Amino acid sequence: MRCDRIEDLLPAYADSALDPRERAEVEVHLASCPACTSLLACLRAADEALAVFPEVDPGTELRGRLVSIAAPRQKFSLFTLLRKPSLQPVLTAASVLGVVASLYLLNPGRRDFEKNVVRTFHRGVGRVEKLYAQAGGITGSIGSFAENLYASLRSSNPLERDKD
Amino acid sequence: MLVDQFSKKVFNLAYQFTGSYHEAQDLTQDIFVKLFHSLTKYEAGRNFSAWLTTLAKNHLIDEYRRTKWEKKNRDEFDDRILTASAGTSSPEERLLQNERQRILWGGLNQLPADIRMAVILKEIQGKSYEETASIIGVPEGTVKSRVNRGRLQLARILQKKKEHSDEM
Repeated sequence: MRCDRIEDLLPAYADSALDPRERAEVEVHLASCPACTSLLACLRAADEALAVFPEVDPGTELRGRLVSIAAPRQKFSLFTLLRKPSLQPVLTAASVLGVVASLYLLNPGRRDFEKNVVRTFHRGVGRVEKLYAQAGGITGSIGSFAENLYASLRSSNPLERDKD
Repeated sequence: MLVDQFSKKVFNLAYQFTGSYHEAQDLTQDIFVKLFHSLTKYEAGRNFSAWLTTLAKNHLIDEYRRTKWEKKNRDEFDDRILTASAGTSSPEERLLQNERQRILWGGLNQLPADIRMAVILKEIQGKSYEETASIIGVPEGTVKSRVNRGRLQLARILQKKKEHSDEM
């Protein structure tokens, strides 16, 4: 068998992964080929050196960089936003409004309440109108009284009477 | 915490793939940014480590295609790596192992991106063929073929260096 064919089989030979026929062929070749025997020795030496290849420490500076990447980022969260102290008065007012609105909307006597409100409103409007009409009558009486007073004053004044 | 648990793993994958310490730092940061944006896509019950490695692999390959790192030189096999590997038994063995690793470190740059990634995941990071296939998203047979081609290429690089030093 030629060296290039044997060389391809050497890794499997070193791992004892060849079938008996191929293994025998390789051993026959190695017995008469110093170059392939040397290559097999180097292959085993390389395997051994790679297996105990040292691990290098990445250093504290890199570790610091990696930890800073891992630190939790400030993401937008509705929950965080709602917990802001500056929003608390607004949220309290909204809650109170919500309670009042729900009490009103869910109240079973809501219709009667609305009717009462409308009735009271119209009654108030009627009263205002009546007061306005009464105020108009009083104004007219005051006007005619003033005119009468003025006329009587003129008639009782001798100077004014001479002019006429 | 995700950073503590996975930053070293992701960084080393990026470093082994690119060969540049600073490039690997920036890429690790990019990968973690992607990770935090994609966490919602992670399906509970899946292997998180494999999922993250797939995300990292995709980013590294995309960046590789965009910037063509193969034209750049890798960092020297420097003090950082030598310090980390100082655990082998005798000083002579450690020296020999370091020399081999230095050659292989440079040799990784000569592997095409898909083969390099398969070799790093299977041979350096110690994942099984099944895990590597799942991370890369190709059949197991394709992974075996890529890994074996990569191993052979690295072995030839070691052999060439050895022959060169024997001649001297």
